[in-house]
This record gives sequence, structure tokens and C-alpha cells, in this order.
Amino acid sequence: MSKIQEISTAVETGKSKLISTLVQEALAEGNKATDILNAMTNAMGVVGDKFSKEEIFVPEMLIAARTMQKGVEVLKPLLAGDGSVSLGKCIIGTVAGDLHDIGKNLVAIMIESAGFEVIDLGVDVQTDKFMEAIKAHPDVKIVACSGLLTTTMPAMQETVKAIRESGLTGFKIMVGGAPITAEFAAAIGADAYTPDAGAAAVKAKELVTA
Amino acid sequence: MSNPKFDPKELKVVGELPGFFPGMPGTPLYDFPVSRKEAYIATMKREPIWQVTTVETSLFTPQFYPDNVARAFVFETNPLPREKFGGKDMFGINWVYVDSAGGSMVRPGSPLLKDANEWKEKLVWPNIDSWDWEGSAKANEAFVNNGTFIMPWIMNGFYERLISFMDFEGAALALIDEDQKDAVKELFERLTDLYIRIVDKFIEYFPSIGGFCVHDDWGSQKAPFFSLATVMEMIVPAMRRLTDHIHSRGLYADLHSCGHIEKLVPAMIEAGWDSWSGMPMNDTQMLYDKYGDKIIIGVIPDQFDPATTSEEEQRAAAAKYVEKFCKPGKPSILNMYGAAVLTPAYREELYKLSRIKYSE
Repeated sequence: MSKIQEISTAVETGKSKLISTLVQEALAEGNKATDILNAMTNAMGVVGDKFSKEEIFVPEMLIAARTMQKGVEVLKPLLAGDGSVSLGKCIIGTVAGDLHDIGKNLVAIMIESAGFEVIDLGVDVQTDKFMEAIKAHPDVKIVACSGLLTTTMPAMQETVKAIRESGLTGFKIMVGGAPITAEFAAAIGADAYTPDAGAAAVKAKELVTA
Repeated sequence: MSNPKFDPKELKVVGELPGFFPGMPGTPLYDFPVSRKEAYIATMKREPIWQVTTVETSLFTPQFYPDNVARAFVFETNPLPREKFGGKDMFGINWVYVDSAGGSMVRPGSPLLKDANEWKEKLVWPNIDSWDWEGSAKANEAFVNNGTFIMPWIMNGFYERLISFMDFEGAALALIDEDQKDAVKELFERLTDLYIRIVDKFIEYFPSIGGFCVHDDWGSQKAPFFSLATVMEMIVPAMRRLTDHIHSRGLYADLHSCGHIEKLVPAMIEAGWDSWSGMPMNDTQMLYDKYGDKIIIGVIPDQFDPATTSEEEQRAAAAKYVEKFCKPGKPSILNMYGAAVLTPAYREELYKLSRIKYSE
């Protein structure tokens, strides 16, 4: 098994204690930092796919993400300034009136693992705060709105509507959460809905590479 | 317990329970041959007398128990105004009541524990002897002697408790992190020690209670939070010691666990729960067929619109339920999530046919 394959396997199986050494060994063998990063990103894609299929669950996904993050820490000095390794910025938050962060956090972790720079606005995020963040990051590629409560679906609608009416462009809007459906997402003007964190990462990549 | 032959005179309505929420219609009470508590216990013993539904049990979550107030889940003789909901649970964790959701949650982002290994150093364990057990026993004397199966709830269970200490992701990770697993196991065992003391206190001060419900959500609307293997290893042993203790006191143990968690039913059985009523995203009818001889499943009946379904059809639907889910030795609970079908006609037919079947 090549060192790159070992790294992929380590990420997929959440071997966080091994990953730093494996990445250093891969670099010592002459592998490019970007190739190692891509291997880890692809491994997280496999993790996301397994999560969507319920072959693995939240803990396994989290530990895989933690493993990748440790691997990325080793690569960071080598990747600094290399804009080609990022898929762009993703602003994410749970909409106003909703304190739930589980789904939002899982999506943030998977989107970050897919190669995005995540700007997490937290929970109970007012529409104005989403707008300010978009203005502060005009190069943002994805704006992701999460909501768990049926009662906060109108807040999600309001946020998407306000963003659309602001005239700000250059990014796609994704929505998700337990009560959200593809039909609702389309009705409120979002670009995409995904049912889980693994699918969200895949969709985010699709949206920015299309 | 004897199970007398069904007498049509039992169908005489001798009382009515008010609706659970204001505005909901009341529920008729028949001239039952045994008390509702006895009927529920008979079901737990798998010697059912009639199909139990929503009238045989009573929640008992008194306000002296801090978790019940924190989680806005107080059911006792003195109702608690909603402005008092939320606040600190028995470990001092602060819960925020969200009125629009009708429930509380810990505001995420600043968990007490960053690592499960910190629990011995940081947790302040509650002094349950300081709670007003005696005052509540006096105040709730009639409430806990109303002829039904009285069931106190232990909110926050095991995984939920861990979430309250560590936030969701921290808790999930700790369940499989080799550096934290032993600490989590030890914490869960210590929680069981606490819950056993709480069980014994309840029995001491409220001797009429019939069992306990432990609240521990294990899944999202889509899937379990964790694998069956993880639950079996991390949660089941501590839970089993609790259910064993409840059973040793002659009482019954019900698990309340939300989410789409069909895959975790074997863990519930292994943990010793007598019953579980899952949410509608679970195929409770399939689960009854598969596991109903090992755990009493809250079955959600086939639903219909009472406004557009004739009385004859409603009675036929009740007969179908009795045929499929009222089996001697393998009883079910009619799941509260499917209670919308409990029209007067359905309820009467369900009672009558199940009484006939179970007393044959």
C-alpha cells in the first residue's frame, strides 16, 4: 500500500494518532502536499458517502474529520499562499430563533473537509448578520442556512429572500435541516437542499465547480 | 391476575379524562373490570387484559426535580407557569426554554467538558437528599393515587446527559475516542448510581408508582446518532444495571428515545427495557413483528382521517389492529404518536375486541 493510500485509509477509519506521522512520511517520500491534501479530501468524500448510506454514523464521521484536520495541520506551512487548494468560502449559520447547531456543525465539518474555508456564524443568526458576513466576504461561494424547528422555517425563508433581494451575487444558497424539503428549498428560492452532511459537501462542490 | 370474560356492560362510560392539551376532546373511561394501573401492569407482564392506549398511565415529573423544570417538563398537581421553565438542571447546567418549540436545550458553544476525562474534576454531583421529596409527596398524594400506572421520568438519561456536558459533537466523539471511552463508561456507571438513588427515593416517597421512564434520545429524524455496536458497548451496560435495579424493586422500565432508531432496538432489549414507543419515522408495525416478543413496542396504527372515515370503517380499522397487534404473550401499546385514530368508535371497538380476545 502506498503512503498516500495509507493516509486515505487513516482518514476513513479515523486514525487520528497516526495521521501526522503518515503525512510527514509521505512528504519525505516526495509526495506533493496538494496530492496528500486531495487524498484526504477524497477520503472524506468516501466518509460522507458512507454516512449518507448509514454505513457509519456521527462519531465515525467526526473522528475522520478530526483526523483530516490533524493531517492538514502538517501540510499548512507548505500550502500557505496556494489558493488553488481551496474551493472557496462558505458562510454557514442556523437561522434566527433556532439554537440548534448539530446539523449545522456536521455540515460545516464536511464542507470544510471537502476543501472550503468555512465561516461559521453560529446559531440564532439574524438575517442582517448573514448579509453583513456576505458583504464582508464578497468572494464567498456558498451561503448555507440551517434550521431544525418547523417554527423557524419562516426565518429561513426571510433570510433567503433578503439575500436574493439584496442584489448580492456570486454565490449559491444551500438550505437544510430536519423540517426542510427540496420543495421548500425551491419555493423559497434556495439553489440547493441536501438531506445530510455528506450530501451537503458533495452538493457544495458541485455548485462551485459546475 | 384474573382476566374476567368480557361483559358488554363494561362499555358503559363512567368518566372522562380531559384532553392532554387545552381544546383537545376528552377521553371516555369505561366501566373497567380492573384498574387502569392493573391493566398496564398486566400488559407489562405479557398477560394483557385489554389493549392499553393513552389512559392507563400518568406522567409524573414533579417540580422539585431540577431537570423537569429546566426541560419544561413538569407534570404534577401544581402546574408550573412557562415563565419559570428553563434554568439549571441537577448538575447546574443551564437550559434555555424555547417557547416556540415548547422545550428547552442547552445553548451550545461553551460546554462544561472539553474532554470526557475532565468529568471527575469538573462535575458537581447533585445532593438529591436536599430536594423537597416530603413536601412533594404531600402535595401530590392524590396525583399519584389516581388509579393509573404512575411513571416518573428520568430526563437526560445517558447520552443526553453527556451532550449537556460536552455539546453534541463532543459527546458523539467521546463515545468512540479511545482516549475518552473509559472515562465515558465510568461516568455512565456513576450516573447509574445516581439514578438508582433517585429511583429508590421515588419509591420511598411515592410508593404507588408503577415504573420509570428514562429519556435518552438516540437518533435524528433520519438515522441513529451512533452504531448499534457503539450503543452496545458504551451505553447498554450502565443502562442494564439501572433497569435491573428497577425490576428488582418490582417495577417496570420504559425507554423514551426519539429519532429514527429501528437499528438500535436490539440494544434496547439488551439494556432490559420493558417497552419503547418510537416516533412515526420508525416502522413500529414491523418492529412489533420482529421484536414484540422481547420488548413491548408502542405500535402506530394505520392512520385515517376521522372526518372522512365512516364509523363502520373506523371500527374495522380497530378490528384490524386487534387482529395484528393484540396477541396473548405478545401485547403492544397503542403508540401516542398514532393516537389520532382514537375516535370514540375506534376506541370502543378496540377495547371491546381486545377484551374479548385476551379473556378467551
